[in-house]
Amino acid sequence: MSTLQERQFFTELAAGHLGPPIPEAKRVYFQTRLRNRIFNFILGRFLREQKNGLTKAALARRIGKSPEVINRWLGSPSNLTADSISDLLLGICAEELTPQSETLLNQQPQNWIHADWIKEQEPPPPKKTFQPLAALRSNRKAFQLEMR
Amino acid sequence: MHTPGGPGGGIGVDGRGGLLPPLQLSPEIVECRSTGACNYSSRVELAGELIYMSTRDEINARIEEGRLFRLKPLNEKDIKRRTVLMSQEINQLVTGAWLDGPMGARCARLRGDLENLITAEDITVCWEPFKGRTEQIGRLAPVQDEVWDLRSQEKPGLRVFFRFAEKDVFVALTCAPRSVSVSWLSRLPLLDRHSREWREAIVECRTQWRQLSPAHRPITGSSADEYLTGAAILH
Repeated sequence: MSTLQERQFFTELAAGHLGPPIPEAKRVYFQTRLRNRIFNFILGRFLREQKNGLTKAALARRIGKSPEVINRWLGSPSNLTADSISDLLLGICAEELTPQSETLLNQQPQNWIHADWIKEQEPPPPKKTFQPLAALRSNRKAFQLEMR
Repeated sequence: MHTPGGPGGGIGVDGRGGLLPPLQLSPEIVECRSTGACNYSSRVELAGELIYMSTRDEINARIEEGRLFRLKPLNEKDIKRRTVLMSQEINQLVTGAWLDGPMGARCARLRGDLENLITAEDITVCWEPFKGRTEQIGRLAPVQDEVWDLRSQEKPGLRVFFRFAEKDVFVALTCAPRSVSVSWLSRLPLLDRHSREWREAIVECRTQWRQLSPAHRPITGSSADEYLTGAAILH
């Protein structure tokens, strides 16, 4: 079941074409996510091909870059660009990315969770709101009327 | 992996970091330690009585107290391969709603990087301190402190300091800017790798760990695989 925070996070996304602007921070979150996912994909390909004998030096030579550049590209997601992604996939495994996307809305959660011994966080208790004396009196009056 | 005292060695650590005298451990605890099961137990003195509290019990107690928080990826479909627990400080940074402006955007990016620790199949690791700067996480010197950092490299660069409670369980404790001051973080930039700020950041991470988990040390290991699944060392 999705938490309140998760449901709220997708509110603007679910609002449709005439919905409110999507806040910058949310867009940045998804930018980071995409970059990390593409990086993970390329890193996985490199590690697979490493087992088949590929080295960083060989990759560097194949795509005409220095070993330092390869180190940087394979080190962290922030160093990737569309062009470097293309070069890496060509050099590592002679592949190209196939664009595909899927909706972020109405997701079915994964049942499996790592470290299931960790307890669920208790939601914070609802804040007690101050009820002015006048409101209490009017409530009491309404109750008395109802009893009659 | 081992804890101070080694398997079955009945030496515990008290709340002030000092060693307690040897004691007889129950067979279950000795076995738990010798088999490498992660749910280590340590002696904790509570109201004059000695009790055994496992790392897991302690983590759950901190979660109940609202001092530790579990990071859940916002996309529920994500596969959770590891766990990130956060201090109040980190939780406040990465839990929306984020304000418009540089702080909101940077914190959203930081959340993306922390979530990646949970979901990524492989994570690049700088195993030897100072050897690599571009990896996603790194072990910091001195290695016996068992303090690591997550390198969130987008400008302004941030470092999140963490320790491992057990394999694949990151406990993110503090955050500092890497090279330039950030108005919404109270810490000074870390700058040069031998700077006083770096040293203080590592000490503060250890201090915060001790406050959250006085009876347990983070895990130790002789290879990155003992800390996390999918550790990729490229150097």
